[in-house]
Amino acid sequence: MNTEKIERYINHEMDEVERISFELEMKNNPDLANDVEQMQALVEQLKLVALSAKIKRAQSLNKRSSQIKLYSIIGLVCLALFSVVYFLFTKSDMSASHPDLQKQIATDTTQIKQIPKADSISIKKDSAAIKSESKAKKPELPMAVIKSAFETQKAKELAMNAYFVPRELEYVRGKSVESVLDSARLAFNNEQYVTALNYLNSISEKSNKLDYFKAHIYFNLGQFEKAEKLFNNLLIIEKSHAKRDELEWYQLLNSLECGSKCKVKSNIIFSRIAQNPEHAYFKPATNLKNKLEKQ
Amino acid sequence: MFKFGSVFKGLSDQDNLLAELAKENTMAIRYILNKVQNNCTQIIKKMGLSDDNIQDIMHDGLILFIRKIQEGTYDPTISAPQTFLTGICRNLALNTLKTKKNVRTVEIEDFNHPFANVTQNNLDAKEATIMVTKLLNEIGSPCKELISLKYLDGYSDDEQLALKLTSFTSSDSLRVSRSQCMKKISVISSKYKSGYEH
Repeated sequence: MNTEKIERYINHEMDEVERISFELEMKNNPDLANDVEQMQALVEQLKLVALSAKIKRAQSLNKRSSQIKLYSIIGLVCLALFSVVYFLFTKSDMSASHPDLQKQIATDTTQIKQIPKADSISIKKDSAAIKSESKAKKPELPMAVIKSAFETQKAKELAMNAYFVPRELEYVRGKSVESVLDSARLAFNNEQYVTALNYLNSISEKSNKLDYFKAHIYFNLGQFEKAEKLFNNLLIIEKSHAKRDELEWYQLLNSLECGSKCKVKSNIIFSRIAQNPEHAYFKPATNLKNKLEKQ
Repeated sequence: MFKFGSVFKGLSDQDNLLAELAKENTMAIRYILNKVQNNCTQIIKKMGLSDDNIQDIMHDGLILFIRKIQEGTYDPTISAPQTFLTGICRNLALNTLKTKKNVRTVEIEDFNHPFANVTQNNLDAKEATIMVTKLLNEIGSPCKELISLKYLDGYSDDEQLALKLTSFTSSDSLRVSRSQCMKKISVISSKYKSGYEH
């Protein structure tokens, strides 16, 4: 049999004339017709196998693409969940890594709460205190209320005018923040007194220097009793005359700011300084006394 | 993410899709499979058949459908390609159920489906694949390669020469050699057939 011809016929590769002639030959030759039929069946089988392979390939490709789609969705969901967990974890980790800070904030909040009790201010949450600090504004809240709450408003004003931040507590602009104390100074400089206090409280070691710093912070926070206590303690310990004078001066300012309930205390300090012309703050104290008496 | 719409541009047009399916274009095959996948899976699963059955049924259904298109017996005005293929798959699934004799919820009217006659062809791609693989292995090189390139991989003679897939330099010599191979394989095939009949 002429297999090449048969194959061309089956694959429709013959031209019209050749095809008609071949079909005529098939009619006359049953063996040829049989061979064609046999070959056609074989080619059909081969084509079926080819198509089957194509479909299987397409099925596996579709399966893979839908798997990719599914995995992508799962991946995205996992990523989203992971992000949420990571966010929550880092948040809780931050709180856990600064327990002192948290504790101190809480402590200071209670301290702040004491002011409104006396001055009819409602600072309820420590977050509010921190928020107000972050604006880096002068803490007008306790000051303003104190002014309106007490009769000795003028005395307080004068005391505040006379107050200046001791050089050792000042943060020099441009200086790098290397220690917690520097951070406290920076916060103090920015009038973020609660933050500054927290920094100081995070320092485990005790020192007069820290207590002095804290006293100033309490003074600026309007927590005069605490400031008074610290100034008093420091006065007992302090040996240096210059430093003792400085402490007395700030104690005086603190008593004046404290208002009527500290009036006795302020008078005692006033008289103590007035009796000592060698006192470093003799002049400012006398001026202050004069101004107060002029009222 | 993988999007079929972007890959199968133009296949959403029914005429294009049918033309490409008739040519056994892989992209068209993937497109139609993707279109009917959900429906067919639902139908087949409802009948209690396994995932392997789903793949086999869709495979056989698509072969039948493509054959119909190639023969020109599929009329797209009567039913859309997706509907037609889903119908074929449904009938094949019913046949599978019938064979497995675990028919529980199949109702008699299910078999009166308009596509029922389509699935009556005695087609077994699996059997054909096994047989062809056996024949090709028996015939060996270079006939195995020559036949595979033409009929399984679908390369035309000119393509084979251009891509230098064979050592032949002219289409005439290639065709003659392959014809001899076809003759050999035909003889082996008839030998198997007669052996099977006896």
